[in-house]
Parts: sequence; structure tokens; C-alpha cells
Amino acid sequence: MLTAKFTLTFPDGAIATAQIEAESADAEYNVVYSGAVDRLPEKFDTADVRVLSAWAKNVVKETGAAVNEQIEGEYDRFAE
Amino acid sequence: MKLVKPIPFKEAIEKVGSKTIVGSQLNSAEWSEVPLALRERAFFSSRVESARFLQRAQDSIGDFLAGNREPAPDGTTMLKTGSRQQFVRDMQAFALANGMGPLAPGEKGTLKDISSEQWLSLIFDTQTRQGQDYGYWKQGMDADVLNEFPAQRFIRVQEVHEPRDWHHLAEDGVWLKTDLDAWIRLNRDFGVPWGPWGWGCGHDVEDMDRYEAEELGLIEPGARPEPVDKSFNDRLEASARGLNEDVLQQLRSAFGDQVEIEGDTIRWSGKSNKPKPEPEPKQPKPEPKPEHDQPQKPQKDAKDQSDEATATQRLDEALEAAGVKGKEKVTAPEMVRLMEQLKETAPAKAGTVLATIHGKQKGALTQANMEAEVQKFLDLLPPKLVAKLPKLHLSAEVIDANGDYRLGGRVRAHSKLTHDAVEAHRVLFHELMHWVHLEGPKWYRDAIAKHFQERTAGEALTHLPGYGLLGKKDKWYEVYAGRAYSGLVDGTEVPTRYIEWLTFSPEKMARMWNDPVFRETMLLVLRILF
Repeated sequence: MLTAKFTLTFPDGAIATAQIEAESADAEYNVVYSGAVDRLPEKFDTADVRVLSAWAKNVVKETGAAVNEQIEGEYDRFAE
Repeated sequence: MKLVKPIPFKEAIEKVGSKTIVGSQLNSAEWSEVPLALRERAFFSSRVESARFLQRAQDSIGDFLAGNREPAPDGTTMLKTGSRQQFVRDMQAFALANGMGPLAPGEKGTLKDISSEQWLSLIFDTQTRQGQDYGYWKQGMDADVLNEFPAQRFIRVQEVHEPRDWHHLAEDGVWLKTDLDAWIRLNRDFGVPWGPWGWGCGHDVEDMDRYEAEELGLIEPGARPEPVDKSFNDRLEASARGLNEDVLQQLRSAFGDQVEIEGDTIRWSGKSNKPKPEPEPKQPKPEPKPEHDQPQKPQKDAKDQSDEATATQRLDEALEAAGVKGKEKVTAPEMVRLMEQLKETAPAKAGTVLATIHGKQKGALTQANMEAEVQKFLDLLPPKLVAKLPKLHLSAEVIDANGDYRLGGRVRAHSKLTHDAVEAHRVLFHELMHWVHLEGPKWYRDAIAKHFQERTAGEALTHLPGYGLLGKKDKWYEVYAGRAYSGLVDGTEVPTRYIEWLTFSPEKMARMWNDPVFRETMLLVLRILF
């Protein structure tokens, strides 16, 4: 299982996180938000890791937040 | 019949004995650039100039294969060379008596030390196996034997430290013995359709009878295969003809009067090497490691007839017709139109391409549904291209991955995908693209490899996040596209990962297409559809 966690630190110090646990790179999984979620300009209920990563970059662009990307573990299955 | 003593293997003995002794300073990498016709007919070893040493080795291996005997001190007879151990011992004594030890103190006992057990064992193993495997191949080319056993299976018989990915993909694959391209493709180190299949390779072949070959769709009932030993010989001859003056000059410089050149053709003269004037300084090249993989470009594929320029032009026309050519931003309806443009008007039929198919009882991976998926993929491929690909063997099985592809048209999808039609669709497109990329025209593999090399130039191999596999992340839309395999062409997962785009929703397709970095690669990947 791969865990991807994006931590967004806004200029005023507020912090919001978005996290998914993904078995594969291609399916979409529920996104779990925490912290200052009301500061996020947009939220997805489900996403894959690529989409969530692009979303985080977009938040950075729109709000001036800094992002810390933590990816741990590996996908359980993929097409070889 | 009871055999009470070994029968000498005539073809093997003749093969080893017929080789011309060629001494030279060339290392293995430099030898690999010598035309196959010369390499195949030479008894040589990298960086060994001594004709006497090579002659002794050839005689000793010939004695081993022939089971030659000599008088023993007690009046009986004994084998001249009874084992590899004896060969190593005798050659070590010869090398040391002739001052042929390691060139540098640090090389003692390594593969750079001519007198080392490791090095001499490698010579013995390679030469005896080349002789024996040639013998089996030659016997298999007898018209009657070939008719009874027209195919052979590529099998692992020994574990090695670092297996070649390329060979892993081919494992348990079955090809007709007459399919020279298929067998030569597996033997990148030696370039011949018989074993050994590489330095230190743990693979071998086993015969398949006519019944099994027919079951696999490799041969039509009643069809009598034609032996190809002459065809292979013609290829060898061709490799020594039409060489340009630069190449001839390099070979003349490396081998002196050991070679004869007549016009643009070169052959061994049979003269032993003589001391030459000071050789030109050469850049040292790394020696190949026998147990390790050596990534190389694929062998020249004689079946390639496709035309890259035409494919590019037709793709351009399709983009134009769909209204997306040169557009920075496209819409979902435009992607739908493009999909229509990608379809063939008279595609190959899945029923004619599938040799075997084993599906599940229900769900996305029933036989009918898998055949329908293959048809969706075939709808995109030029029938002329499909006709040149191996027949497909499709199955739903419990495997380590969601899907995999092995050479010879073998596609597997994980059984559990029968419960996930979307994923099954994507995985089958992925694996079928391996079929097209790895077994299709060489221009396409070259174009993908060039793109991969250009995009990842200067980037080190790293563990791909989420996969734990080695690769180059670059800016692929998904990192798995950058996966690196040993001994496989660069960019093996680029066409496969990118062709999955065709399985996405038009909205998602449009979003991805609007990224110029993605589009650049996708435009290259799509060429094979034309």
C-alpha cells in the first residue's frame, strides 16, 4: 500500500493536509483532509496520486502556500 | 540399446575443430563489433594474442568432445582431456610456463587473468556448449527431425545471480526452430540461433513435437517446415560482405594478415598472427561480466518493413481530420473524434490473431470479453502490422502483477480483474502494447528508445516512487513509464503506459493532451497505429 500525504503550509502558518492510501497508481481513492481545510480553494472527494499531486501544486500557485510531499510504501499491483 | 561408452558428438567436434585460430588484443566489447561471419568462425578469446595458447585450448576442447585417449604410464589408456578441471589445470600450466599471467597484480584470479580458474572455466564452458548446442541445432535441421519436432521451448535450467530481464520475458516461450529472427533475438551476445544464449546464461531449449506446435498455432497441420541452416549460413556470409573501407581498415589493423580481403568481402586467411608493429593506443573498454546483463540495442530485424515516415504523415492527417493538429487546448468531443480517426476501416479479426485463450467463468475476463478487448485493440492497428506479429496466447491467471507480457505473444491478466472491467480494459491495452512494441517494427523501438534517451539524458537510475523498481522518473505522466529493464530496449514501458490513455474518458484524455510534455510523447507513441 502506498501512502501519499501532502502538507500545505500557508503564509500565515496555518497547515492543511490531504492524504490517500493507494493500492494502485491508476484507481482513485478517498482523500482524507485535515487541519485548515477551509483554506483550500478546491477539494476532491477521490483522487489518484498524480491528481492529488497536481492539485497540491495548484493550491501552492493560488495561495502561496508551501507544500511538503511525503510518499511512503509501494503500490500493491500494477501491469508489468 | 545400452550405451556402454559415450558417443562422440560429430557436429560438435567439427564445429569446434573447424574454427580458425585468431589471436588478437581485442577485448570482448571490440570483438562484438567484428562481423558475425568472422566471429562465428574464429576460435578466439578476448585479449589473447598467443596462437599457441589458443591452439592448445582448441585441441584440448576437441579432445574432450571427441573423448580422445592417450597412453597412460601403466600401459592402459586415459582420456586426454577428461574434464573441465583437467582442462583448467593443463591450460594454467601452459599459460604460466609461457609467461601469460595477469597483466596487473590486482587482476590475479579475476576474469582478466588468463591463467585464472574463473577465466579458463569460462572458455571451456562456452566453447564446449557452443559446439554441443550447434550440434543439436544442426541435427534439428534434418528435414525429418524438423517435421516431427518443429519447435522448441526456451527454458531456464540453472539459476544465475542476475537474470536478464529480456530472457525472463521469453521464458517458457515456444517458437518454430525455423524462426531465425526469434532465436537470434534471444542470443544477443553471440548472434546465433543456438545456445549458449549469452555469457553465463542459465537458459536452454527443449524440443516441442508437432502436436504441441500445432496446438499452439505455430504450424498448420500437415505443413512441412523447411530447414533454415542454409538461410542462416547465407546471413553469415552477408555479414562479411559489403563492408565499407573504414571497417575493412579497422579489421585489417586488428588482425593483420590473419584476414583476407577481396573487394568488400573479408574472411579468415588461416595464417597465424605475427608480431605487429606497435599497436595504436586504444581506449580501454569494459569487459562483459558473464553473470550480468548487458543492455544492448535489439538485433537487426529482417522482418521490419514498416515505414516511419508514412506512419508520421498518416497520424498528422488523422490529427488534422479530428481538428486537433497543432492545437494547444482541445476538448473532450475532439478527443472522441480523434478516437474515431484512429480506428481502422478493415481491422484484423481477433479470431484470426488469437491462438489460445483461457478466460474466467464470469466477469470482465470471460473468453468472450477478453476476445472483445483484443478486438478493440486490433481496431486501432494496421492489419499489415498485425500480420507480422506472433499469434496471441491470452489467459486470466493468478500472477504477481495485474498483467504481464512475455515474448511470443503471451499475455496474462490477473484473475481478480474479472471483477473490474475498467482495470481489465486498461491492463489488456497495456500488455497488448508490449506485443506491438517488442515484436513489431524496429523503427518504432528505435524511435521510442531515442526519445527515452533524449528525455532522460544525464538522469541517474533511481528507485521509482511507489514501485521500488529502477528507472528514470523524468517528466513522464506516470513514473512507471520510466522503468528500466536490464537487456531490454530503452523506454519499454513508455508506449505501454501511454497507450492506456486511449482507455480513459474523453475528458481525462483532453486534460492530459493539453499538457505539451505529455503530448510530445503521445504523438510518438501513436505512430505505430498508422
